[in-house]
Amino acid sequence: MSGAPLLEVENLQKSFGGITAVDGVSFELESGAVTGLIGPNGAGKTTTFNLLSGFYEPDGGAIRLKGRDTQELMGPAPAEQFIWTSASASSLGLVGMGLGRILAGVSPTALLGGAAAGAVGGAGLYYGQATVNGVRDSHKHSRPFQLARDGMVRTFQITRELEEMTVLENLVLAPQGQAGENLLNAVFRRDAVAEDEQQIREQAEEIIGLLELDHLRDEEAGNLSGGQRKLLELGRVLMLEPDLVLLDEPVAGVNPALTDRIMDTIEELTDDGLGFCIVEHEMDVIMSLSDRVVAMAEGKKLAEGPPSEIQNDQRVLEAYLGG
Amino acid sequence: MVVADTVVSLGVLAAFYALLALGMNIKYGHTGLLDFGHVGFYLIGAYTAALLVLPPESGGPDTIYIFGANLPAVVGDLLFFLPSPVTDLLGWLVAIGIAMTLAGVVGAFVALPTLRLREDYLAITVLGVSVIFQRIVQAESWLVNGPDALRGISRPVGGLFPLDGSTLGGAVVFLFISGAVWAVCAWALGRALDAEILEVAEDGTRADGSGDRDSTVAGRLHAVATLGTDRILGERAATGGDGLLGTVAGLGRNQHVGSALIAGTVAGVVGAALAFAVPMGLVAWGAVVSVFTWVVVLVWLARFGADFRTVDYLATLGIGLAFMLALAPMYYLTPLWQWLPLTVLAFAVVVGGTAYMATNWDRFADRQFRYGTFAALWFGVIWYFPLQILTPVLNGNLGTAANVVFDSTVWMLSFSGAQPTIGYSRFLLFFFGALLFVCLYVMELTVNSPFGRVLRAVRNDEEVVNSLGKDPFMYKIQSMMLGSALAGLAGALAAMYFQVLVFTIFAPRVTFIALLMMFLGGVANNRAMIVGAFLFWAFQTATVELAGFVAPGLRENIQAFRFVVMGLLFLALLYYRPQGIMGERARTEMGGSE
Repeated sequence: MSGAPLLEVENLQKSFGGITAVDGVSFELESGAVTGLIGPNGAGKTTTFNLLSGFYEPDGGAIRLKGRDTQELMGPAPAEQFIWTSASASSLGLVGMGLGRILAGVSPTALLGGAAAGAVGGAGLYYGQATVNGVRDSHKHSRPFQLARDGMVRTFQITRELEEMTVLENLVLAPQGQAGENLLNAVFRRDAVAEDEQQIREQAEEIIGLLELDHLRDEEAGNLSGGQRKLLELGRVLMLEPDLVLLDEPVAGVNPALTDRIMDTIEELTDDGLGFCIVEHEMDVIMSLSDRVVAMAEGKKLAEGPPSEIQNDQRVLEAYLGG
Repeated sequence: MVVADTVVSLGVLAAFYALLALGMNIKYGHTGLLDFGHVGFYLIGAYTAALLVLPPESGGPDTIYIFGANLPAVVGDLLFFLPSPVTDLLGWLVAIGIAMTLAGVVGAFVALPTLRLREDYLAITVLGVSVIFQRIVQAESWLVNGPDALRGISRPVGGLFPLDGSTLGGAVVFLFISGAVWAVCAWALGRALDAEILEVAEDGTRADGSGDRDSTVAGRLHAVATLGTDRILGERAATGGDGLLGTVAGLGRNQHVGSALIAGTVAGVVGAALAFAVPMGLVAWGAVVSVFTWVVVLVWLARFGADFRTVDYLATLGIGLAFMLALAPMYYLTPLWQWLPLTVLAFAVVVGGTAYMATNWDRFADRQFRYGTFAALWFGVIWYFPLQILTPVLNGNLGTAANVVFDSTVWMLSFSGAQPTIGYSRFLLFFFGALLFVCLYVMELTVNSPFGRVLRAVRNDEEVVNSLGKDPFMYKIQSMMLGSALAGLAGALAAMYFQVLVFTIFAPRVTFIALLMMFLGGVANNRAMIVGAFLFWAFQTATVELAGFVAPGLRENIQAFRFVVMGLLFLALLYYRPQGIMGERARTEMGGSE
């Protein structure tokens, strides 16, 4: 283990209707370390994952990625702010034009003046509500992609491949800030895009080699087996060059040989300084991989510590044996 | 009506409907946004373009509209040194551009509140929005003449048509038209040759574009058609030469584009000079260019049927002929109780026989798509040539028959009037065709780029895109903008085509026609939109032609009945070939690099 905490979770709360799924959980994740998250079914592990990765909005508590609150990180991106500002400005601009027409008749001054006043009002309205929401504690943002951009990426318990796309396409889709993802570049700056694409493809080929998926590179992801999908998901996450990876049951339903390969890969990457948080039911896997283990039951944290300690913890054993 | 005129007007309709379907394909095919309100953007494009080219309202009681920007005249004043047909066209182009932009912006606006909805709710909401647009047009009489038609939309360069080449302006237009057709044909021929040679390239004959290529008839023809420039450019490219020719070759990063441009320019100049200076020059050059287009089509067909043997050509001819003959009772028998059962029976036999062959005869079963295509082409060819000369030949009037064949072959010219001319519908075909070509090219670049990859990822699973640090919302907005802008372009062209706009043109069924074209051609396949649009309008035209054979009282019934038939055919298509006729293109090697 090394370095300052990459992710801090403090008193996390989430309930669905009357059921409290996560109840005051706190822990820290560090770079260059694997943290295991264990617990019986319904303990709230996957909910915690969804909260961390921004797919659910927390009811209370705080999550800080590299010291910054994730709610703050998940605020609207500049492009989105621009769209909403211009939409709001032009709608109210039209209303202003109409008002000008009614109050002062048809003249360029009345129409343009009304439009300009409306536009300023519309833009002000948007920024006003954004500011108010920024101050309000209860206002939650949910734009998971912002967290991925800041280095925290997740996989899904039930793998979610882009089934109609090939293994290679699934991988080359992932990297951030590709030149060709901008529509204008895609049409007008094709040389730059091609260059960028070439690099991304080389990176993808490397990952395909690392995960030994070479023979499947042009296969549609929908045709892969469960274990191969888990590998592909891991590969897709690695294409993003993240700092912290949340893996939801990475070896569930995977045969022993593939499990070993996934574990080796995780160990290698941890040595390279990545942080992992893994939810897994396979105790052997979690105990041999993890540097620390957090045990949960019924939405609460039961225990936290090195694997050897957790294995012998009475409360954890009771929770698992249905005590 | 001469048969070529029918095909040309069919092509014009198909061209702007293909643009409408292309827009739908970007939204639904590539991004998975089911937009049942597509027609709303078509409406915005049409009325925007119309208002921009209409002159200011004259104050008469018959037509009231909010404003008329009179762009052709405005551009004419600004660029007073240019001849009026040019400024006319420029004014229209500006109007088309603004109509596209506005449709795209409105598309984004409509998308803002609706995109967060689930797919089916999105579909219903935008359907509602499009109906609101239509109702506004209908109810607000000050806007675009309310429930009455908006009339008086002038067509660009209309004054030059029908064009016989004897005036200077006419010759210049002929220069552009014949040059463009020539260039496209030369380019298409070059592409066909490339594709052909790739298959036999094992012995290295392709090295510098010489060798095997030039020994084929098509290869020689290509050398002649490009005036040898293709070879020169190929050699230049191979030796890294530069200078003027190198610049031209670099235009499309492809020697075929460069050589086609050079050859097209020369062909256009020759054509214009001939038409202007020599009597019958227009006919002569029109014939040469038309024959060239036929040859290029034949080369492509030969390539498409690469593994066809004589027996395959004969079998597909037989199928096409059988379908044509199945229609004969309708043509020859008058009483309903005679032709109706006979036609249905004949169709049942032919369809059953074809289906039996398609499954039990290996040659057919292995190449069902090609067999289907060729049978349909033969059907069309039989209608285009032999059927048109049936009556004169039977009457022993061979001169007339030869005349009809010539007129049909030289499709570029219209022979309806006293002397051969290029009619306005030909101009529309070239103009719409050129715009369609450009849009298709840009859309192919778009969907084959990383941008298009994200669109398809959004279609597959939005959550994954989100987890990979990309904002699906931004991509969906852009997809809606692009698709709506294309619908707006189709609308602007519709305004030019119809010249009169009524709110009923923009009923929700237009959206469903675009959807039908998309499913017919192949979802997420841009080129298939042209096939879908063409087949749809071919079916419409065919049923109109057929209705002409039956008693007048029944015609309306037939035209109503065709919707039932179309529905049944659509059902059969979705059942047996859900991917559409062409299916989605494989993209294993996709990316920004082409």
